[in-house]
Amino acid sequence: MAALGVDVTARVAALVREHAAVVDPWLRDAAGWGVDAATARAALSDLEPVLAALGDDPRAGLPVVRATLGLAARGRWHAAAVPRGVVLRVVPRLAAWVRAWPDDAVPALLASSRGVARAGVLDAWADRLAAARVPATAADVRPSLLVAAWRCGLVRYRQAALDAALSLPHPEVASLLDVPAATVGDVLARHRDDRWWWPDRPEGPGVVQRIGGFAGWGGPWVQVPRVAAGGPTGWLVLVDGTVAAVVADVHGSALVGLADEPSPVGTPPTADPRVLPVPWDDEVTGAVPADDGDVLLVARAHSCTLDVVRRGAAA
Amino acid sequence: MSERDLQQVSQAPTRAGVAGAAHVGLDAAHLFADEHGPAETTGPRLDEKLRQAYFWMVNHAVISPHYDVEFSVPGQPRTSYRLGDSRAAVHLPTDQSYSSFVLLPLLTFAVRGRCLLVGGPGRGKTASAVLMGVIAGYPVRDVRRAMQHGHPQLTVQDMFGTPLPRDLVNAERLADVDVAWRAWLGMRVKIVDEYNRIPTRTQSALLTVLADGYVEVFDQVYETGASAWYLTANDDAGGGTYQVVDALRDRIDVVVKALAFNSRFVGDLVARAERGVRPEENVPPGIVFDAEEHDRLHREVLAVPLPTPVRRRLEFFAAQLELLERAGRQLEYRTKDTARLAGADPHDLMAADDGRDRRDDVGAQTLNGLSVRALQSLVLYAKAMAYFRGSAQVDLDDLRAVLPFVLHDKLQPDLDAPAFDDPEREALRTDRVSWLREIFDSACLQYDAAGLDDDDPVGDVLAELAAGLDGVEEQTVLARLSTIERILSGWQRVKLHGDMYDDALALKYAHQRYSSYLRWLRWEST
Repeated sequence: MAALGVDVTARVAALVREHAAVVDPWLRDAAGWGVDAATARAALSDLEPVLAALGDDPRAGLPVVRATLGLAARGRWHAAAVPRGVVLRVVPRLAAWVRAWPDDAVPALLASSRGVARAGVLDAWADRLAAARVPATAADVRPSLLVAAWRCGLVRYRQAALDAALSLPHPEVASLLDVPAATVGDVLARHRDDRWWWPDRPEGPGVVQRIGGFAGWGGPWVQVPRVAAGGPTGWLVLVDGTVAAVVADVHGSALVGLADEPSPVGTPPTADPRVLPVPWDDEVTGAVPADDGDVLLVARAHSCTLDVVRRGAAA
Repeated sequence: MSERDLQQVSQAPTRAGVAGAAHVGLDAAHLFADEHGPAETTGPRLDEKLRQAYFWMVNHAVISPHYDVEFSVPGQPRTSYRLGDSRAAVHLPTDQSYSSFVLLPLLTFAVRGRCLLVGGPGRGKTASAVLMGVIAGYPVRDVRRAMQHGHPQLTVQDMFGTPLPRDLVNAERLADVDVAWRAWLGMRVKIVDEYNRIPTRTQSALLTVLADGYVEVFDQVYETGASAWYLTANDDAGGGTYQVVDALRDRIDVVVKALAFNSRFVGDLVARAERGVRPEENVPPGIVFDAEEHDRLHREVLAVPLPTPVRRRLEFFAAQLELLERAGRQLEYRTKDTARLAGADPHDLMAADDGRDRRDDVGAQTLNGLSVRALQSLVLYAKAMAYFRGSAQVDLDDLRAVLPFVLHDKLQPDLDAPAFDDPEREALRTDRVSWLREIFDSACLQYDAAGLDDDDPVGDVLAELAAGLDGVEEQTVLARLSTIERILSGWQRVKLHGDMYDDALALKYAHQRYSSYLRWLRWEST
């Protein structure tokens, strides 16, 4: 292994020596970023179990080596780095994907993993992908990752994922969404119309989504939030001195901080909790109806959590 | 911390979300935005690389836990707490903020300007300058050797080059004398340590190199090319062995103070001493700029646009500073410069100018106005600040951030002015950075109060003129002349302020252009 004089053992060494002409430019590039031999050796040594999971297939292993050196060059090969965890934990679980489309799957997994990890659903995402069908073509890899990310709760990708799902074969989409293949078209169409509908979810009145929470229990807020109508989604949350737009659907929720505070559209009406089909007894400080669907975003006087409540006929 | 830790560069992006507006809906491009294949990557964007250099310096090289260059996200006001009897404010900025002692030298590197680092001995001034040389790609040994150390016996030849002794004997003309130029003159980063200990004659030679980029010894000329200059001085007030000549002082673009060491960071000093690793000898290659990148960096900074509303506020501020009504009789000579050239004290003339609110008038707090060079430096560093922050154009905040460091030695406060008598403003006599920031803020408030963004008749006149006179008919010219006269007529009964003074001169200029064009039109028609 010429460029850095790196000497690693077993699988990695065999792979790198056998493909020195391919790997050396990557090593030189890493050296240009200040990676010394010891750092490169340590990073590559970590790949032993990954290469084993990939069945010692050099076609699959080389993109992983390349990605690893790139991460080491940019200081992202350390215990706390998400991409390193993806290479070491997610790639082995998705060995079938990587063996099928090595040059597409590895970069796409790494590129998308930071956004998924920020939402705290990296494991769920990996589980869903591992349980899904391997994409039939390389072009299906990225749309599949996108659909899985949305289905795991990254609601801001909802529209893009619904569009991407249309480009994928139904069996693949069905396995990603965990719905029968025969119903994929109907499910997507109906969900596109009503973001709070999903097969096997209760359609009656009640809480359909919970958003936020107290910082002490892993939520984003210290203070009790208030809600208002307005902003890009029609739902605003005012809490801890900030204003954010609430984006939510049946699978997840997100808060988008707004730099310029939009003027709330009127004072949020307070709903009588007695007519709200909810399992709590509290003073409602604001209830904002959604632009689409018969749901309300409800804030309470004694909770850091917002509830999306589907109204009953009586309410 | 090991050598390897020292080589750690901050992860990109160092300034997340510089693109600005919030996207509620995201797509595949956002999900895969983190992508970069190692083989395709030619290196980070240069603004990103510059920020990585900054964060490497503050994290590993220069212990400067100060965030005196503050920024706040629009709509998210900073939180402030008041401490002690003096109600000293601790501001908690809501946007990424910076340490001037590290930031300004880096911006100087980007624009290839001239930076003076001042402060007591042992504050890291020279170390920072050396780091800049290493970031420019020079081996640390070469940077140290190239550094010029000011001392009272330093001659022009010591500093720049010596004629070859053989030629001195044999030459029949000066042009025959070859000069052995000092190697440091060709470097992209030039460091002059303790420049205030250089004798006056050598300072004058240094002035030529700083200002014009060439040096002359024995009729031989050496072109030094564009470079970033770092000068250090132990005494902010310009003391030392020799007084620094004013012209040399004016050539310096920014002045940065080494702030006091925070005793809570002694632990870092101990760790540094124990590990025995010098930051300048372990600069990560990822933050080193080669000559091509340095050129591109400078070009990209220059290309950052300065929008009109920001430029107008700078114009308004600069206009406040020069006017001195009683310094002359003819309008053009009613300036502080006229008084200074005549040996008169601008303060005395300002004191005699009754009827002006000398507490609120920004111009009444200074003894001089801004030179063209100062304005050029301001614009350049404001662009560099915007570039560093990843902004597409210069914001008012960028200009406000760099202004005190650019004008530090260029704008002389009139410490006897009534504005400094207020006990609340007493500290501004010594804290020049805060004073400059305050007078700029005051000028911006006055600009906003006057509503000049929405109603700027003089700006309209100049814009019409700038569109060109080709094909403009006589009737139009007469109408425009009438507009100019009407504006001037409307100002006859109000107090003359700096902005109005500059506007009046601009209107006079426009009037002249139109009058000459009108004469030419009429001559042509006959």
